[in-house]
Formats: sequence, C-alpha cells, structure tokens
Amino acid sequence: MVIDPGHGGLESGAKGKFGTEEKNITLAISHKLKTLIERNLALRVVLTRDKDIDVSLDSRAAIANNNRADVFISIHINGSYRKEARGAETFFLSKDATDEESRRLAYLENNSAEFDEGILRNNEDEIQMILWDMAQTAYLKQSSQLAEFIQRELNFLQGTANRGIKQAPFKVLTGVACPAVLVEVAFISNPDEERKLGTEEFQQTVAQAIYGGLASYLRASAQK
Amino acid sequence: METKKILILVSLFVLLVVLVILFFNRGGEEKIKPGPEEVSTELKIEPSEEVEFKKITLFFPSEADSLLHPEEREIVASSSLVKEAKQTVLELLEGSKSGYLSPFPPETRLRELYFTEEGIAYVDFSREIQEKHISGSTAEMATVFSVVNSLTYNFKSIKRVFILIEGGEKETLGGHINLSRPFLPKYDLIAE
Repeated sequence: MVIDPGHGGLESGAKGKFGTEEKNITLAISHKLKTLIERNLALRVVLTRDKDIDVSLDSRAAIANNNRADVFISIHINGSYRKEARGAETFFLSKDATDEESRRLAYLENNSAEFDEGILRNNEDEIQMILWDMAQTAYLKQSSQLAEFIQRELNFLQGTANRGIKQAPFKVLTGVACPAVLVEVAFISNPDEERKLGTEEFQQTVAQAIYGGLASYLRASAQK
Repeated sequence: METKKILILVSLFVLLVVLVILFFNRGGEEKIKPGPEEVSTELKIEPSEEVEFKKITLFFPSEADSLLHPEEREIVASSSLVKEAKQTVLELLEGSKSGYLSPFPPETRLRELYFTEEGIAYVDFSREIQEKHISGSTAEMATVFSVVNSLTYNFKSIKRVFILIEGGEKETLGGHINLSRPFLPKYDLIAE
C-alpha cells in the first residue's frame, strides 16, 4: 500500500482563507489512514512523504512502483473558484491522457523495424520511457472500482448522496503501475469546510471512510 | 523695426503650426499602429472600414455548479486563424460579462499563440497563471478546460491544446492537472 500525502515543502498546495494549507492536512489524514490500515488489514504501508518535504510528482509514482504497491491512494484537499463548492470527490486517471501515449507507442513499435541499429536503440529507450509514462493505463478499470468503493463511503459520511467518481488527467497518477486513485477530501476554498479540515475528528472520520472503501475493494477483488 | 517684429511673430506662428501638425500626426500614427499587446484587446475600428465580426462562444465556470457555462462574444473576423484564436483567449482573460467566474488570476497575460500542422494549438501564458493560481484540482480543471474547450469549440482545425507558461512546458499549474501533454476537449464539463 502506498499513501501519497499531496504537496509538501515549498509546494504548499491550495490555501484557505484562514491560512490552512493543503500540504499539512493531507499529511495528517495520511498518517491516520496508515495507522488504520496497518492495525486492521495487516498490510505494509509506505508514505511518499512522512514529513513536510518536497517530493516531485514523478518520484511519488516511482515510490509506488519500486515498492511494488498493490494500491496507490493520493490524498488531496480541493480548491475551487466557487465558494459554495463542497464535499469529497474521488478521481481516477482520465483515458484521454493515456490514449495519446498508446497511439505514440503503437506508432513507434510499428515503425521501429525500419530504423537502423543506432536509432533503434534510442527508440527502445523512448519506448521504455513511454511505457513508464502510461503505466496507469493497464489499471484504469480497477482504479475506477477502487474509486467507486471509496466515494461510496465518503458520500455516506458527508451526506452527498449521488456524487459520482470523476476522471481527470492527474500528473501524479499517470506513472503508477497499480490501481490508483486521488481523493479530494473537501474544499479548502469553502470557509466551513476549511474550518472542519483543521479538526482531528474530521480528519479521523475521513481517514476511516477511505479505509472503509479500501477494505471493501480488497474484499471484492479477493473474491474474484 | 515694426516689420521685423511682425516677421518674427509670423515665423514663430508658422513654426507653432508646423509643430502642432507634426505632433498630431505622430499621435495619429500611434493610434493606427498599437503595440502587439494591444492588438486584439482594443481594436479601434473606423465605421467606414469594412470589418466583419464573428460570433464565438467562451466557457466560464459559475458559482451555481461545477460546470463550464457558454457566453457569446464577437471578435473581429480574420483570415488568420492565429489572430482569431488570440482574440478568443484575450476575451477569456477579460472575464465574463454575464456574471460567471473568471478561472484566471487577473494579472495573467497571453504571451503567444501558435499552431502546428497536427492541429495542436500552443497557448503561452505569463507566469502569473501558475504563480498566482489558487490551486486545487477543481480550480485547475476550470482554468485548463475553459481555454481548451473555448478554442476547440470555436475552431474546428484545433484538435488539441497545449498550455505553455513563459514559453516553456510546465508540469502542472499547482500540483494536479498534467500540463506536459496536449489536452483534448472535455465537453462533459459544459452545462446544458
């Protein structure tokens, strides 16, 4: 299990009106989620950062892949131009982002035979790089299932009845080679939610909801 | 002596008139040839000139929901796709005229816009679009797809949009949405 607390270090993420910073809340929730998973599921959990430091988006995916993670959950706090925007949203990678790479890869594979030795070698390097960059493509279906389970719990928690899962081209998800989702816990741009985000209880209930979704997903995939 | 005085007065007057004429001519030229940054924001069009306008649709986020809402504008029609597309982005940066939200930091400027043969529009914004961005996934999506949808919706030859900042490729606006490849339009974000 790899949990990715969004942002960190100089990169503080979205900021609230009262000065709450995304990076601090994501770290607090991630620690709570880690404790819940270790205690109840006996899985090894790695955090992409366990303190307030900068970690590049590519490194976060690399940490997941190098640890051979089975699940990757990135924790974020949302921000919107709308002050009214509220509630939790669970995202997985949009397919648009990966279609393009698939086409490029297909093109390279089809045409590489025409190249001479030297170019071929470079070309293989490029294919490696593209493969890395599109790693998430192979896991989109499982990622959407994981997102469903987590969103269901979050909806229950926050009374946001029918909010569905969403897709977006998140940089941090593209290179992750396992089911991966990004959870936007609440909106820091909404003063009410900003206040809530700072409280231990809210952070704990959110961590519990994400844990609940993850546990259901693992049960469901074990049955297959 | 009298005639000398008159001569001096007359020549001074003539000099004044010449200076005045020169001054206004220069001013006039400046109005006709504005700097490149003003070109599309304030095109002064003489009513006698034949100028055709073209209706375009811009997309802005609203306070009411998390979708993008259409707003019609008129731009000066041009045989140049680049000019029309630039005007479209400049209109977007000016913000909504019907009460929608602006998904850009107010200091953001359009630096450049160009096309490749594969139908990719490269839109190059000033650093403020990143440095002063409020961040957050939803906010970044609004910024990106306001630009992407507005360009692809109005110009059929634009298939994808690549967002640059200060002339270069950037990873994200604020840590979320991937800017390192061109965007296809996302019409499911548009309100009915």
